[in-house]
Amino acid sequence: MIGLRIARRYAKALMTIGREDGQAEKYKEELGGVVKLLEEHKELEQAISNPLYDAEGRKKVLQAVVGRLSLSKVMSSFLFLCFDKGRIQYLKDIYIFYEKLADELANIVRADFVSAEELPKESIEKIQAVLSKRTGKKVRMEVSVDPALIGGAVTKIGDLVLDGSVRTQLMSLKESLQRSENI
Amino acid sequence: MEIRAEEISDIIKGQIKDYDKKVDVSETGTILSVGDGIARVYGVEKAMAMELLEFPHGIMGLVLNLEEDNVGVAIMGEDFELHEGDLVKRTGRIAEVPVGDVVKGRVISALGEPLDGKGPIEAKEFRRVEMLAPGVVARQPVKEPMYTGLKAIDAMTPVGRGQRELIIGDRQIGKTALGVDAIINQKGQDVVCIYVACGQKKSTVAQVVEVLDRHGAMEYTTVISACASDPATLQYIAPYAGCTMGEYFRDSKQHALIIYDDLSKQAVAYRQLSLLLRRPPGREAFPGDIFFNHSRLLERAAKLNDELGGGSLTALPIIETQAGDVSAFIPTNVISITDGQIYLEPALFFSGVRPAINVGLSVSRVGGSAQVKAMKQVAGSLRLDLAQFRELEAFAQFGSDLDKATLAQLKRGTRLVEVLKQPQYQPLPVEKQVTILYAGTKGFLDKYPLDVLGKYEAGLYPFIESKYPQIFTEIAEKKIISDDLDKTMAKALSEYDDEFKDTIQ
Repeated sequence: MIGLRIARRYAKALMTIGREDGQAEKYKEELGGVVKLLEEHKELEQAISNPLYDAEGRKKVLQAVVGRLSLSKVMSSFLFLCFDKGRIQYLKDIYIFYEKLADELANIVRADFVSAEELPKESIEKIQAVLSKRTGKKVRMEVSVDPALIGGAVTKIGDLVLDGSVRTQLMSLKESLQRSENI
Repeated sequence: MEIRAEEISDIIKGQIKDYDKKVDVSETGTILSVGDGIARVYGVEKAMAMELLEFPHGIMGLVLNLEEDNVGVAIMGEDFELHEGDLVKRTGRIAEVPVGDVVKGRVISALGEPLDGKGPIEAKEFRRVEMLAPGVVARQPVKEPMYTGLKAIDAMTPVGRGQRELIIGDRQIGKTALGVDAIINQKGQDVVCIYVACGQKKSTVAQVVEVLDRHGAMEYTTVISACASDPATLQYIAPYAGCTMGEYFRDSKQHALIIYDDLSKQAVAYRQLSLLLRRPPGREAFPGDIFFNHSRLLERAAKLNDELGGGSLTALPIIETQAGDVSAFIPTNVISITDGQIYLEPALFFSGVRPAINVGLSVSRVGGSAQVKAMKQVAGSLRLDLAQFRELEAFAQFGSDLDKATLAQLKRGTRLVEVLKQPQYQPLPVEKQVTILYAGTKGFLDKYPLDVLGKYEAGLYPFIESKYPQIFTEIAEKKIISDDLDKTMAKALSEYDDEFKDTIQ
């Protein structure tokens, strides 16, 4: 809970800088790169964030990594700030929030689209167009296939779920039969 | 009647055919943590305060906390089936209950679900559980009496329609009995009654329902039951749910009486919720808004003005004290909110004064405006006589040498105390109350020993009914003891004296 709150504040601060100098998108990529790197190399993450090692040594590791990655000035200062404040372990949460803020700035919404079977490209594009119209924003869709839905598709846009799957309909049919409605 | 198998399959086939293929649109969130009847939910960004959320397995939750990055939800059901990561759906409905005539005669839960096995409640109208109390302009002063049928209350601390009168006392000294008597006495008075059992034992509630049923009072009564075994959330909203049902009658030009039994347990349930939601504790660990919790509930009891139909909702909240401690937090709060209190005392109860009302500490701030003239005429001297008696009683215990006047006053006092006793579930109509109190205050009882007064009262009503029925009808209709009636009553009582003297010898 506290982690989320911290992450949001750091992400917001970074966003403010990004909006001022118009580099928001670039920071997103850089931050994403760092998060990915740390996730792939667990030992590196340990070497930077594990408090068992002394702070001096850890900072040196971070400095070396940042130097290699040739990050922008703002991003490297941001990472050092996070490190000095002892918040480097929240980097992933910060990235998640930052991504959201960057999407908002670029007027993009993310949608998860799960269908029972693979759909042709035209259909997906059509769905994307309809969703953009509905939300009034550009839709970036993640498409996946889940045969457990039996038929139809489920779309998730943030909290909103549009469930047109056969599985859900069978479930609600079962419920309505159990409640014996309309008899 | 026989149903063939194909008929059943026809019905089901029809249902499946008509089943629309719809896209199910819902706003969702996920459970972050769950436990102790509280869930923290991430997502459901548009959730509103007091909105109902749907958890898996058809369990409902009530949104109580809206925080920066999560929503605090009180679960109204068993929480052991819920897990971290479960999907939560918004319903878009603020907590509401069915209202109207359909709830009369039913035993229902705080969410309006039937508990009496009499089938579903087919309500046409639902209303929100939390409603704003009527404003100043919408009201008028309390002026009609709301008889409880108990001599001690109707004479000494009268309750008016639209009033809020607190019933306060220790456990097991007849608080619920007062409420039940008041409900039974509303028979034929066009008053709809609502009994809210909050944090009671299920057996107690069953008993109350049985008693009401036996006295034919269930037909105009709704029992809302949130028992001790129900989740704290249900115990917390039960009084509000009951109040909403009562308000429907108030707003549709009828009269309603609601009994909250009891608000101290509701406060405890609310304390539990608040502490689990991490709201800061205050005095006795109650949350800061515990006063508002009770004041906004009781403020909804009102007498509406004539333009709005003049309906009323009378509230009789019950508070249980611990060892007579009325200066605890919740009792002082509710005492200050209500328009008076009926104070029950264990000492009186065990010395045989039942109902165990301490007439000295009980008050009704609405007072005489909720009494008919006839009752005022007898209650005035009754109050005075009893006050003098209480003063002398303590003093008289020291010495035996008392002058004649003092002795007379003591004698009168003990008889009046005796007259105010009343058996359970036997409420009296106001004309009978006036008659027996008249006999007491005018000294007709002074000549009898204390132990025959019960018999005297029992015989008096049939006597008057058969020989002087005009006394009852005149009090009931004209609501005043005129000089003529005064003479008739005195005559009737002395005539009854002659008859009664023979029976006790």
